[in-house]
Order: sequence, then structure tokens, then C-alpha cells
Amino acid sequence: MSTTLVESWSGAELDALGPIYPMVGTEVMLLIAGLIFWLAYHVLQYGIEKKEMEEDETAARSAERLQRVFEEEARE
Amino acid sequence: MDTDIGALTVIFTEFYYWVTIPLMFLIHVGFCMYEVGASRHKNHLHTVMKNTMLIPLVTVTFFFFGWWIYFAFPNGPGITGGLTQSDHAVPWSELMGTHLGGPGPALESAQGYGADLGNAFWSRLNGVFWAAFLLFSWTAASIVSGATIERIRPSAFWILAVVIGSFTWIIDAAWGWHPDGWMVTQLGYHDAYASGVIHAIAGGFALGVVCVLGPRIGKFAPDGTPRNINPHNKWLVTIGLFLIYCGFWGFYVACNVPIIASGDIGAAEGTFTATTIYLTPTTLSAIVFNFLMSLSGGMLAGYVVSRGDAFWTYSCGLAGIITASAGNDLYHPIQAMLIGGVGAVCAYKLHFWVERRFKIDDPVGAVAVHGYAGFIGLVICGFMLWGHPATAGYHAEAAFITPWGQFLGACIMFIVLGFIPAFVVSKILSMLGMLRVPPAVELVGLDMSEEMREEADAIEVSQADIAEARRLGLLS
Repeated sequence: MSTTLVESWSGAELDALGPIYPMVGTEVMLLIAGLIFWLAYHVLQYGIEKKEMEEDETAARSAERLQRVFEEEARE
Repeated sequence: MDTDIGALTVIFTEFYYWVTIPLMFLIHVGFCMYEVGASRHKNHLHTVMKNTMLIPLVTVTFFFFGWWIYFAFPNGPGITGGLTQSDHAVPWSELMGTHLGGPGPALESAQGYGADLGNAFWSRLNGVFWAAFLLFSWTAASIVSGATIERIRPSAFWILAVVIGSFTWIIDAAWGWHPDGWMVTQLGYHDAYASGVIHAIAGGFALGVVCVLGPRIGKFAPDGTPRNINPHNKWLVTIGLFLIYCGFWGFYVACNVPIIASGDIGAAEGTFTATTIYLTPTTLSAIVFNFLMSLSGGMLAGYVVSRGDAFWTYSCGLAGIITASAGNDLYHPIQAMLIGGVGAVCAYKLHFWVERRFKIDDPVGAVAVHGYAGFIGLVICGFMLWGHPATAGYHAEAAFITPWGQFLGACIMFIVLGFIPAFVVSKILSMLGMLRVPPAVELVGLDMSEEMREEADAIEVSQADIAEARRLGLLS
């Protein structure tokens, strides 16, 4: 029993072997899972970024903090 | 793989391309370093993460559709024919994974482009070819990254990175950087080391984005005079560019096919040669000569024209290579040096002229160094190599390099596949309010929320230390 098409390397005819990754035949399902994973990243990341921008905007309302940023910028 | 020499050729080629991949990684390390060096302290983390995260995003999308586009689109489609079947490059192909070259359950033998090479060839070379092209994709997206620092939303940039990294640049590669691409066979387009197919398109794309994005706050005085927002760390910037030079060795070498039987490319039988991506003969020696001489031409001219400015001297070295790259498979080294010098001066002058005239804020000079230098390099190549065959010997009708073919090719790269898609996608993102960070965030810095968290952590630790010192009687 093997998840790949190889049961043993002993005496295996390498020229006759094609794909040897596990679960050959599930490529389309893997592609769909991959596409969902990729698109989910963009959606989740946008949410994280939005929250972060709100925090940054709140910080920008502090005159003291802004002043500190500008002073540091002038020193750079 | 049927003969010993065939097997050795394939395995050597597999290793050859593998070596180019870690070398090209250095380009990305360099881009990250110089972008961080060029940004202000308040934006460092976002700057590095913006460039870093394009790596996984372009990688997965290049697996999903970029690689297939390269083999499917050489005819346009719709210009000289339809889509080309390319079984080995579709993301569900058995050859897009660990494969020993024999028949598979679903794919006994790949059909379509390269079918005559067989499963044994593609099983060894598909991954390394894919990765070498992928690293070019990262470079294209990374060039755009530098132009947008300190004001673009990372989420927007990453969408744009996928557009250029896994879509538009690989279309241009199918058209103009493929032995059977329609631009090569119809226009005689020649761009051996990617002046246009990477640099002009990425520069044009960057220009399209920054036109919509606008300049950083404070970049221009009310009367329109540009202000210098100097790199925060010039040392980091220059070392970053130095690393890009190092990575360029891998980039150049990956543009060649290292060994191929002369009969297979339509020449007389009986010898082996290295070729360009177009399967036209060249040598590694030629490109080593010309890489170093064009780099030198760019640096020498850049030092003089910028009066010794470190950032621009390094950038002009890059511009020198980029200008000469289209024809660096054939130029004489002194020609490469002079072309590099001309490209560097043009890139430098154009950067500041465009900045003043059109109020374009390109903090790292990416549009000039890659876009203008790449465009100019293509046109120069048209004159320098006028009449030289652009197509491999197996094409029944040869196409020849001409100034007009190169000029048209440069316009396709810079404007059609670079500027226009970037402008359109950026406009859409802008209309949705997704392109640029809010002005308050830009002023306070994109890293502010991280800095506040770190500040809170530091205060908490400090308070714990004070409490412990009191408990030990060290503080009253």
C-alpha cells in the first residue's frame, strides 16, 4: 500500500515510471484548493490591512506623536 | 535521453538552470535592501514586506497560469494563429511535479509545444525552466515596487505584482522572447537579455502606476519644484544595487540555452553550441565580455553625469547593462561599453526631466533605469544589428532585425503591455479607494501601528523590571 505509484524501488524500471507524487489523479482538485488558498490570502490580508490603517489614522490624530515623527524625519 | 550524450545534455541543462535560480535570488535581496535604504524610517517594515510578499504571490500565480501563458501565447493568440497546446505547462499536468519521464496515468506523452522532446525531457527541465522564468517575474514586479514606495497600499501593490509578474510580462515573453513568438517571426524582434521583455515593460508598468498613484506628500513644492527626499541609508541602497549586479549574472546565464545540437536548431549537423532564448548561436564568453563592458560603460558615464553621486553611479551601471542587453549576444565589447554609457546618460537625464516636467515621483529611478534604458537599448539594437537574422535556422522564412521592428517592439513592451495595463488596473483600484494609503497614514508612517505595539511591549517589560528592582530593594 502506497500513496504513490511506487511500491518498491527494487528492480523498478525507472524509464517506465511517470509521476511519483502522492495521490496522482487529484491534480484538478489540488488546483482548485490552491486557487482558493491564493484568493483567500488577498481577502484576509485586505481585512488585516484595513484594521492596521485605522490604527495608524488614530495615531495620526495625536499631535505629540506626529510631532515626534516629523522631528525624527528632519534628523534623517 | 535515449542516448548517453542526450541524457548528459539534459542533466547538464537541468543543473545549469538550477544554478541560475539562487543567483537570481540575489536580485530580490538587492531590491529589498535598496528600497528599504531609499525609504524613510517610518516606512521601513512596510517597504520590505511589500517587496517580500510578492515572492509567494507571484510564485503561486505563475504556477497556476503564468507558465502556461508562455507556451500557449506565442501566436498572440489571434495574430499569427490560435492558442498553442502545451500539456506540460498546465497546472494540472503530471509534468508539473515529481516525474521520472515515463508515461503517466493521464498523460502518456505530453502533446503540443515541445511534444517531440518527450516526457523524459520535460520531467527533468520543466521545474528548472519554470523557476528561472519565475525569478524573472519577481524581478519585473520588484522593479515596480521601488517606484511606489511610501504611499501605495500593499494590498493594491500585490494585485499589480500578480498582473505584471504572472500575466503581462509572460505574454511579452511568449510574443518576443520565444523562438516562435510572433514578434520574433514577424517583426524580427531581438532582445537576447531582456532590455524590453523585463526592463522596458516593468519601467512602463511602473510609470503607469505612479501616474495614477501620484507623488509622495512633500515631494513637490507648491510651484512644482521637486524636493529631494533623500535615501535614508545610502550605504544600504548601494549594497542593494551591488547585489543586483551579482544576481544579474544568473539573469544573463538563464537567458541562454547552454548546449544544443546544431542540427536541432536548423544549422549544419555535427557540433554543439550555446544559444540565446531564440535558439540563435552565441557563447557564454560573449555575454561575459559584454555584461562587464556595458556595466563599466554605464558606471563611468553615470559617475561623470551625476558628479559622483553614489546612488546614481550604481544605478547607471545597471542602466548600462540594461541598454546593451538586447544585443549583448552579438555586440563587440567596446560597442557594449559605449552603448551602456549612452543608455546611462539618457536614463539619468530623462529621470530628472520627467520629474520636473510631469511631476512624476519615482523615488528609486526605476522608470528611468529600467524603462527608458530598456526602450533605448531596443532601438539601438535595431540599428546595430540591422539585417542580422532574428530567427533560428529551422524557420523556413527567416526574419531579420531592423530599427523599425525594434522600435515597434519597444512600444509594445513599454506602452502596450507595460504602461496601459498598469494605468487601467491602478485607475480601477483608485476608484475603489484601494490604491493609496490615507494622507494621515502617509504622514505618520505606514509602520506606526507596529511601532506603537512595540512601544507598549517595551513599556510593559520596563515596568516589570522596575517592579522586580523594587522587590529586591534596588529601587525605592
